[in-house]
Amino acid sequence: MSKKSKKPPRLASRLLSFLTFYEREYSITGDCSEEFKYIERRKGKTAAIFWLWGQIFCAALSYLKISFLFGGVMIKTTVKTALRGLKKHKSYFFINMTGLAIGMVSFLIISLYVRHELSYDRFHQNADNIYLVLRGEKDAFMAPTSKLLGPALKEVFPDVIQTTCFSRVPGSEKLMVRFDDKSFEEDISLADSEFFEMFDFPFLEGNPGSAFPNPNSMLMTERTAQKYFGGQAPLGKTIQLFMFGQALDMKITGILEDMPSHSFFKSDILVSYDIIRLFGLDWDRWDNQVLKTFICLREGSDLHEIPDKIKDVEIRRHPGARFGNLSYDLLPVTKIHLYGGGIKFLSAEGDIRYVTIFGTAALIILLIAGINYMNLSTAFSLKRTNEVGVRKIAGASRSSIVRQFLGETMVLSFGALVMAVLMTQLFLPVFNRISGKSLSIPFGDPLFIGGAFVMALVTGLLSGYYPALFLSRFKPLVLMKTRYSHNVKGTAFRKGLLVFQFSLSIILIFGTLVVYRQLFFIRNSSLGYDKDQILCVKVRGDISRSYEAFKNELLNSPDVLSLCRSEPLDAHVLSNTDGVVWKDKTRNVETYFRLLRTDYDFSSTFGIKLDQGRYYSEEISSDATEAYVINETAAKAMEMESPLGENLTLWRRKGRIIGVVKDFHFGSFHNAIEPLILVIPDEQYAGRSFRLLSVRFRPDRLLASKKYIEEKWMSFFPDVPFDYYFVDDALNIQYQAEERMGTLFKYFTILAVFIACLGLYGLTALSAEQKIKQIGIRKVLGASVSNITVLLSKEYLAWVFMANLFAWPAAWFVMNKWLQSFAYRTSIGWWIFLIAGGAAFVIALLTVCALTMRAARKNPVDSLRYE
Amino acid sequence: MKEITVLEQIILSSVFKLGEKAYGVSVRQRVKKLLRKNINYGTLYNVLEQLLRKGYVKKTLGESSPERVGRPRIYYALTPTGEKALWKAYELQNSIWNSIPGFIKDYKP
Repeated sequence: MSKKSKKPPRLASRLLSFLTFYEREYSITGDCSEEFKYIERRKGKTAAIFWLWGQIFCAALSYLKISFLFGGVMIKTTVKTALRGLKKHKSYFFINMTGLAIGMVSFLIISLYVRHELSYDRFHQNADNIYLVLRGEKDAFMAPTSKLLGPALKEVFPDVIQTTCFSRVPGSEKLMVRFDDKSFEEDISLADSEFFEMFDFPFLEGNPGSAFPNPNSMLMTERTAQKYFGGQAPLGKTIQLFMFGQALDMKITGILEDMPSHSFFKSDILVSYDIIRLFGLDWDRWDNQVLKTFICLREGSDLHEIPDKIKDVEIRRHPGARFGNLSYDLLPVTKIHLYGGGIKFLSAEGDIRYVTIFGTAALIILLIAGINYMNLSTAFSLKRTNEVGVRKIAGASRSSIVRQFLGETMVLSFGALVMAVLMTQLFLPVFNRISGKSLSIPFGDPLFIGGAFVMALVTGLLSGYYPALFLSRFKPLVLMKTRYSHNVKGTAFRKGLLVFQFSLSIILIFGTLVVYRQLFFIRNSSLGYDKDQILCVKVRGDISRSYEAFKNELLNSPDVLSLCRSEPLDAHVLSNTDGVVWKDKTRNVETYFRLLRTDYDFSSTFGIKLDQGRYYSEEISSDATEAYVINETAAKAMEMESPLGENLTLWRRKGRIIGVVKDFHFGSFHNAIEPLILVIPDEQYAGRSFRLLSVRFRPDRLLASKKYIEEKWMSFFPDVPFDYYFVDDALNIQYQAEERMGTLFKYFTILAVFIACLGLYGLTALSAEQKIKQIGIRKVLGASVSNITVLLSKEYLAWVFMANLFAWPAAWFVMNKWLQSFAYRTSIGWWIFLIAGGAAFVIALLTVCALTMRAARKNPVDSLRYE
Repeated sequence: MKEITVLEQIILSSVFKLGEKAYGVSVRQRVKKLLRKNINYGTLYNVLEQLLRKGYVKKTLGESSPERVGRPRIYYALTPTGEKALWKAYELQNSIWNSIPGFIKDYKP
């Protein structure tokens, strides 16, 4: 037997002696090590180690039990002393408890958020086996696939049990639904009946098996049905849907339970996929990628080969197509919300990065709050050495003093927990508004209650243990005679922590500044067109017939400068095609072009400038049939030196380029401007594709113009709702996510600064308390208040200054990375560094000065009296 | 004098039986054998402490050895009061079982 294995593991014996109360420590640790040896000799080392840990487990259990029992007996005394302390040191208790409570609040809120984010779509019975099929190139996947893919997969693979398709109605944001006099805009999705076999969305009324008996069947959630029908029975009712420029009569065939907020599928209204056939459309083609295909695999299927096999299926069934780098992938349905962000046309809102960042932040905040709490309690307990001394003289054992201090911190930490829960209840609505979630405290969830309890227990134990052990160690005489004569251990650690806290605050201040600066940049940079003084109307019906008359009527008014019809200027809506051929096109390189269908007045209404050539003109008849206007990026993408007059073929329609417009933003600033072809559509399709009417009105005539346009609209198109917005307003909404982030950053900054200040306050209080005699002597010898303030403050301010050195590179790195997600972005100027650092410095200065000045003002008699 | 519990009886008897060699490890082994189930040190020392407080046992500090990572053995021995209590427990037990001779003769589980 080697010498090393003669002793039981050190950690184990340490733990054991920690868990057994002092009186018994000797015998139990000794006995256990002795018996450990016997067992090791008889049954081997592993068995012995197992036995030892078993003993430790038992010891831990009974330790907890005894602590609680004692707590029960002692609680009256403990609470009484704690309350006495509370009365005596109100500000201390208030600051300490608030600090801890705020740490807990952020921890609670963030853990609720993280829990919610992680729970997406786990409630489906088969959740672990359902996958979304992704198509595209490696690292650039898209969610939509062909309608034919699902059935084909089911046919070919025995592992695919079920398939279904689902998609929002393509090419539009929201559709208008009307019943009687109630009309609302709704998110409407297409699905098939299999959808309800695969996903668990229970029906309140209707039959899941035949959810969509007809192409014009419609399903609603309970909430929506209530909205339209009130108390009436919704089943079988007929309701009007405005889609693709037509009004359809839909029949309600089922009522669904409201879709849970932790689901990727959020539509309130579902219609049958077959509805598109009512428009004479047929999407059952391999070259039409519109719908999302979900497949349910047999339990334990091998996922690795499936994507390649899916590709083979498409290649076999889709003859005559170019496949290039085509590849497929599968995304588990439970991961769509958090991991779907990079996939085109998926509109996943979550981001796993945010979840990790916030989760870590929550833990760090709680940790910091706990450590600050410990610092403050230690500083505070130093004032109580006399009390401890008297207790010891009166016969208190070390353990009873430990218990007293622990009891007090426990009272405080549970007090903080109660406060935190109340504050969380108070702040959740604010958080919900910022984050767009609807979280609530799950009071009924044992996991939550247990978690909160454990959190308070652990924070109380950890933060109270140090002062408790520390103070109970001294002999009464030492405690009574010399005040604060020791050096607090772990100062370097505390200072390190202070630097860390302030670094964090500086990073957050920095982040807030950068986010707001980027938002400012977005709002104030030119979009390439005039965003002011344009009123847009969402066209929800066919207005083609009397459009000309309407146009002339409007132009009669001096307020209206020009108007046009087009597709919405929104990258989410514009169609995307690679069906463009030009002279030097190299095969196998897929260049995607956006199409924007407009009429002749588009460029004059939006004030879009031309780089070369001219815009479409109504007078030249060939413009409608064989001319193209492209943007600068498109010209670059096609590598044309002088694009004017070049041939261009779009979907077999040949034409020439007659003009190049200057680039304008039709997407968000996140993406670079894409190649764009502006198209005049055929007469017969004009009604369907022009879903936007834009009117440029005279400056300063906003309200009058709006009123005038509305009146005219009502008289010309009484059937079509007048649903308008102003372009500049709509643009602001586009950056909601960034604005949210800015607000979140702001709140986090406040929080971090507050907590950091508490930490600083604690440390300064500790040192002021320790140096109280020094201060007294200095004052007696003639030092002024400002002298002493500087003396006490300068060290800490130096640490805060140092925090800047850590924070600046980190903040720059993180925020630069965030800015990279914008194709068009502002720069990080040097002044941002200075402001962030300066703000932290000033805040720290105020905190420290407030405290040190008080210490410096004290009458030296108080501190030196007993010498 | 109050009655003592069965566990206390077992431990007292073990301490008596082991005589000079009664300390943590040996007492635990013996109690384990008598009870036919495991008993951990926490429980054992809880009871021993209780007995100590009631004055039934006394303890003496023994020798320490490297085996025990420097911790001394603590030997336990019965005090006269402890012996009396154990005897009282024996009498009580005896009287209980003697009162139902029929049960002991006839009952087979």
